[in-house]
Parts: sequence; structure tokens; C-alpha cells
Amino acid sequence: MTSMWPQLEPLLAKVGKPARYIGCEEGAQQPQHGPDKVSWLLIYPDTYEIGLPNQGLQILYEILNERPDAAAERSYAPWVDLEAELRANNLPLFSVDTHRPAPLFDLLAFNLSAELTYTNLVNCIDLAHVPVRAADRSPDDPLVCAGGHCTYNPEPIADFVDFVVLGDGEEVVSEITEVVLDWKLSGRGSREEVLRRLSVIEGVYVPSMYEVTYDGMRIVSVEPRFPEVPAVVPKRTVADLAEWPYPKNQLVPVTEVVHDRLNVEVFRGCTRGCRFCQAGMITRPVRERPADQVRTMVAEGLKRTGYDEVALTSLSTADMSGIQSVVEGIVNDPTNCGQVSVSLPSLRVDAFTVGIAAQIQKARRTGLTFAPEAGTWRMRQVINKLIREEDLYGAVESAYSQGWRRMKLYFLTGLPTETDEDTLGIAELAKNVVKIGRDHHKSPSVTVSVGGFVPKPFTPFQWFGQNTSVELQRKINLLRDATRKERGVDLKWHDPKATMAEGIASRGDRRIGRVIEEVWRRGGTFQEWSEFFNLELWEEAMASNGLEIDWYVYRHRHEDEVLPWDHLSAGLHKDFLWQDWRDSLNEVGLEDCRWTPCYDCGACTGYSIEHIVASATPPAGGSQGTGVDLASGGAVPVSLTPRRPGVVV
Amino acid sequence: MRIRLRFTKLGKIRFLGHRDLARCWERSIRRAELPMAYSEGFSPRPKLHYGLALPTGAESLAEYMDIDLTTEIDLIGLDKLLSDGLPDGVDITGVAEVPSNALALQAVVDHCTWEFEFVGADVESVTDAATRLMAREDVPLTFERKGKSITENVRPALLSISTLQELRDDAVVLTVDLATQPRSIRPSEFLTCLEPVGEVRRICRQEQWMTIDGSSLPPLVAGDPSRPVAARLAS
Repeated sequence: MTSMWPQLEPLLAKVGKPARYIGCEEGAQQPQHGPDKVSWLLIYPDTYEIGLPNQGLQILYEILNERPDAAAERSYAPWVDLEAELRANNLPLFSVDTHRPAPLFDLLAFNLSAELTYTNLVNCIDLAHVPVRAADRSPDDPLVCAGGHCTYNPEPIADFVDFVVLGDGEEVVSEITEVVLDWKLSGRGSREEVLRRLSVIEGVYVPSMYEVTYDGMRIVSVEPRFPEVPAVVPKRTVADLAEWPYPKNQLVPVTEVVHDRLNVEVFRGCTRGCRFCQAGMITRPVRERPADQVRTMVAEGLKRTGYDEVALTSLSTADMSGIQSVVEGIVNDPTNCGQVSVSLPSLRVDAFTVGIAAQIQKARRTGLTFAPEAGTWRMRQVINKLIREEDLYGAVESAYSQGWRRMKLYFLTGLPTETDEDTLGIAELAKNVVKIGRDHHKSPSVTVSVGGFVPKPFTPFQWFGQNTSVELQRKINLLRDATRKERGVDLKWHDPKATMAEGIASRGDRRIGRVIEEVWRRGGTFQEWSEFFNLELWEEAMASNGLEIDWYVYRHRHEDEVLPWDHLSAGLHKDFLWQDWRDSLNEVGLEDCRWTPCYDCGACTGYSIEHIVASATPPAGGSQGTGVDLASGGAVPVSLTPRRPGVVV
Repeated sequence: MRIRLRFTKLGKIRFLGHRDLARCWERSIRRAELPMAYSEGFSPRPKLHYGLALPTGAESLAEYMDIDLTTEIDLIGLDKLLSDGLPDGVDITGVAEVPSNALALQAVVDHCTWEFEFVGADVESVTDAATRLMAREDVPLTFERKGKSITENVRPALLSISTLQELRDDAVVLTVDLATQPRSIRPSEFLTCLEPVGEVRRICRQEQWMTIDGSSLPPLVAGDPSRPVAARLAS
């Protein structure tokens, strides 16, 4: 049985959105498998609509299928209706490319972008008819591995994966393929044998090769079990994005998905240094794709796919050198067929950015999104998101005057040292934005989206005790009361209970594995989906395993504490992160090192690579790119509030 | 210039919904760089006119759509050009120019021929069930339309039924003509009218028909398959 299609066909007639499971995308491959090839099943543990656009997965799909010794297919978490049908008929998870059963693959490789998908990871392993715990697997079972941002703290999923990859996957997938092929051709010895060999590949972490010692709740040490296994696993970084113009054949799905457009990555990494942002910290240094390559990828991609929209993706696209001429070139390209719109998924908060947006969004000017992240200048200094109120108002004024009507503002609450004044500053900003809008439109609207802050590993806030869900709810209520009577302000918030559960997985250690397994066994899949999220499952699983939420989530960490991910490295010096944490508490900002001298975070020096930017001049002046520099920003009158007494440092 | 296309929807792609298929068409037409006409207004949409929606999960040998173009184009090779950008299983089997004031497909088609494959049944029992159904004068069916529950006699919409006398891949094949107007009945509704006879494995629309001067004609006269563009609809 190499295609399950005949068995699946009658089941698909019974489930919702069957097009999720048929594949048939433009760009999909039908790879040939064989004994001399390593077969990879790349799995995104959420629905097809969310997983398909994932660029990381698509990049590896192409790189692997270009290799003569590899074959890669894709799979996504089946929705609960199909899962029930598969289980009732004793059928396994399958690929969407050739509908090949998951157990036939050599590797099940997961992309982990969000902690709340961990129970889906376990569910997919189980649906693949593979024992969920790595320790229970035999040599004939597929190797289970994972990559993506979550793997910078893989300890909560250490029980379930055979290995994880830290950092960029472009090069390391080939090295893994070679080791696994050798193991396969030599008759598949023990799992420990192949895992030991994998553990010496740079960027590969094999949890079972490390012994964790505890003293009560505290971790004393994490030591390699064999001499050749590295004491600290470094992340992988591709030095030059220009060498990796992938995906070359972006998949065009037949059914609607999120981000349904051409995506071209214009740079990787970010050095703005927002202290809450894990992505910005772990993906350093900045590596820009050459503008000419961007133009070629856009032009060819539009022609090949038939899309009428292209997103230039990165962590802060307005920072790309020469962004203006790149977007102008795309919009005015005479070879475009019909109108093409360009989207910049992460807009910077300034008028310069709005100017670019105006150039590229000639039609359909409905809404613009900005992320000031915090309500007061003081708070934004703490998190190093150095946007002054004038920057925001300037951006908003510019946007309203050029025809946009709806603004969306993203904020975090529960940040270190946050006071009620800071929280209420969010409402104040929103009111002022509406006021500016009234000069231009009759009924401007502002959507304020508030998320609870979850501290992440390898950020300066990794030592910070997360706000309790009760405290987050209180802050949301404050904002709700403050905006209730404000016409035009629409407040939305993320469920603080889900924020708590994310906190458990974000900075958890290996003991959290039992909690994840229990939540899964009791039916807790799709925890990212509000209709399925179940707080009681998490609380009860913590309690039944003798673990305290307070210890894992709400507690401030000490400088000398061994963190569960200390034996892994994102390239950042721990003392740099600690210093940045101290600076944060002192409300000291840090400039973007792309255009100012290096402050030795470790990301470049440790890897002998450098930022690759085409221009040494920051866009629109100012090292924070907001048209101002730190000195003038610091002059904005702010009321200093005492540090939260709870912060022990 | 308005052109009419005839196309298939076969295989895995049968699970793609009508709206999703429409998006595939838009991308394919952009890729083919056809001079597509757009609607006026704030958010211009390409002027594509789809025929009767095919239920998700059903296959078809005869789907139709009309496209408005801003300039005259050569129809030779257009089928190949468009099929290249469409998913596997969606293949263009006919192209012709129609008058730009031609009535909408949904208005001119009045019945369709469907094929049902039943497994776990024998020819005789399926034939008997079909005969008994057609012998009834009154076939009341309760169905939902616009959120309301309606009960109607659908017997006038059941035009003809015939059974293939030999099995095809272990399945009994039933060919049914169902009206789409003035009163329509969907394939799934037809199945609820028929006495249970095994499990339905496949539903496939074989053809759509317009009635002109008492005779049935397809919306596009299928031509020589090697030169499908030669087909021209007599207007």
C-alpha cells in the first residue's frame, strides 16, 4: 500500500473541507521513493490552511526533492472529523502529495512555530502509528524530528522527538539526509547508533544524548552522555540568503489558505532589539537578499503562479535597503498581467512606511496595521520598541490623509515593570488616533488588539515572571472600561488563559512532557483554536504531575539559575542578554547595530559572519529608523514610575 | 468578445468546492495573460460567468463557463494554454465564441445527465428501485432552501432513469436525467428519493442540456477532440 487514496476517498466524502487533503497544488511534487533514498514527511501540526503557506516547510521540501538521495512529501494535522474517521478505520496519517502512509517514511519532520501546537505534534506522531515517546520506538519506526522557532527550547517535547534542529534548515537537512541514508543502507542498526551520529552535526540536538540532573525543582546540570556529543549545541545560520533563492516554485493551493499570495523573503534576522521578540533575537544577524534577486523572484513568481499579490516578508520589511525602489519597480513592472498589489506584513510605525504603503496600495485602501506594542514611552523604552507618540500620530495622520479609514494597533500587556498607567496608555493612544481620524473621516475606527506577554527563551525577558492570568484579565478589564464609551475604539484581546498555557510550554523543562502527553491523551488537541482550548486540562495535568504553574510561569528567574535551554545556543551571549535585561529595567534603550557600532551580542562574532545589508545608511534617518534618533527620543517628557516591587534581579 | 469553455472535473480535484475552483480559474487566466474584462468599481473583479455549481465531491465531464475579454483573440491552442494552469483533472474539452449577449448558462440549461455508481448492489435490485420510483406520481421531498424547510413533489424533475445491464468495476451504473428548472433536484436529493440500494461510490455529471425547439442541445457543441476549438455554437 503506497497510496492510501482508495481508502481515503470514501472518508473525504464525509468530512468538512475535503480539499484540505487532496494536495493538487501547483508546484506539488510526486517524488519517487526507493531503498537508496531517504524519505522525509514534512508535517505542519496545524490545519492545512495555516500550514500550507509556511515558507520554511516549502523551502526544505524543494531542497530535499532536488537531491537525488532524498524524497520529501508534506502533511498537515487532519481536522477532528477526519481524525475520527482515520482512527475508526485504523488508517494512519498520510502525505497530501501522493497520499503515502506516514509510517512508510524514514523521517517525520515537524515545523513548530507555536507552543500550543505541541499536543498536535504528539497527536500526529500517534496518528502516524508511531509510539509517541521516543524511548519506545524501534529501528523500524520513522525518526521523529522538529525545527522552527519553538525548538530553541525543545525540552518540553524532548520525550516525543528523536532530534531537533536549531536555526536555518537549508544546509543541515542535507547533512541529516546523508547520515540517515548511510544508516538505512547499512541495514538500520539501533536507533541510538544513528542518533549518536546525528548529534555531532552542527545544529542538531538529540535530547536522549543528554542527562538532566535536578535538585528538587531546580536543574543542576544538563550533561552529554557520550564524549563526542557537544556540551552546547549551536544554531545553524546560512551566511548569505542570495545562495538560497527558495522557494523557487512556491506552492499554489487550490483551496483558500491564510497568506494566500506570493511570498518573497527579503531578509532574515532583525537587530532592532525589541526585547520581547524571540524571532528578532534568535535569527540574527541580518542577511538581506540582493534587490535584483528580489525583483527576479517576484517577477517570475507572479508569472508562474498567477497571483495578483506579493508579500515581501521579513521581520521588518521597511528596513530593507532600497525598499522604496524595489516596491516601485514591482508595482510599475510593465510585464505584470493586470494589477499587482504588494503587501508589507510588518509595517514600521512612521510616516516613511505609510508613504511606501501609499505607493503600493493604489486600490483597496481599507486598513493599516501598526504595532506600537506598549502604551507609554517609558514602557516602550523598557521593551526597546523606541517609537515616540509623535511617530505613531505622524504615521496615522499620514495614513488617514491618504485614504485609509481603519487602523489596527497591536499591543502587549503584562510586560516587565508595567503599571496601570502604562496599560491605560494603550487606551489613550487609541483615543488620540481616533481623534486624528475625525479630521479626515466621519467615523474612523481603530481596532486595538491586546495580547498577553509570554516571556520566551533567548530573549532578555527570559528571566521575567509572566503575569498571572488573573492579572492579565484585570488589565484587559481596565482597558475595556477605559474604551467602552469611546466611539470608534474597538478592543480585542487574546484569552489570558491560553497565554498561561503557552507560558508553561514556552519556558518549560523536560518534566512538562508528561503534562503535554496527558493533555493530549485527554483529547486536548488544536489548543491554538479557541473553540478547543481547555484550561482545565492543563491545570489538572500540571497538578497530577506534581508541577506548579507558579514555578514554571509566574516566577522570576535568578541570574545564576540553570535555564532548561542553557545547553543550547542561539549565538547570543548569556551575559549580553542579562545586561540587556538590566538595561530594560533601567529604561535604557539600545540602538540597532546595523547602523551603529557592535555591542557584541554574539550572533556575528561567534559564527564569523556579518550583517549583510546593501546600505550603510539607516532608512529615513535615525538608527531606529523612525526618523528620529535615540537622543531626541529620550527628551520626550515621560513620567517615571517606580519599578515593580516583584521584579527580583 | 465572450468565449464559452467546456471542461472536466475528475479525480482528486472533485473534492474542491465551487468557489475554490473559481479562484483557480482566475489565476489560470492571469497566467495565460488573456485580455480579461474587469468589472467597474472600487474593487474590480474579472468578468467570469460560471454555470451551474457542481456539488463538492461529484465529478463531471461537462462543466461550462463564459469569459468576457476586452479584445478578439485566436481560440486555437487556448485549451492547452489554460489547462496548463489548472489543477490536474480539470481539462478544457471545448472552446467557442458565443454572442456577447448570450443568455447566462444558468438560465439556458434546464436539465443535466448524471451517472451514479453503486457498490454492494446488483443490477436487478437497482433497476427495480428505479422503476418503482419512476412509477410514482407523487414523490414528496422535504428540503432546505434559504433556511426554510419546504416539501414539494419532485416527480416532475425526474426526467428519466436507465441502468447499465453489466457491472463496471463491481458497481451498478445508473444514468439519470434531472431537471434544473423550472423545478430542480440535486443529485443528493435524488438519492434520498430512491430506495436504498448499496453505497454510492461515484457521482458524475455527464452533460448539461438546453432545450431548443423541443430538442436537447449541450451549451457548446463538442467538436473533434483533436481540434476542440473548431466547435462553434450556432447562435
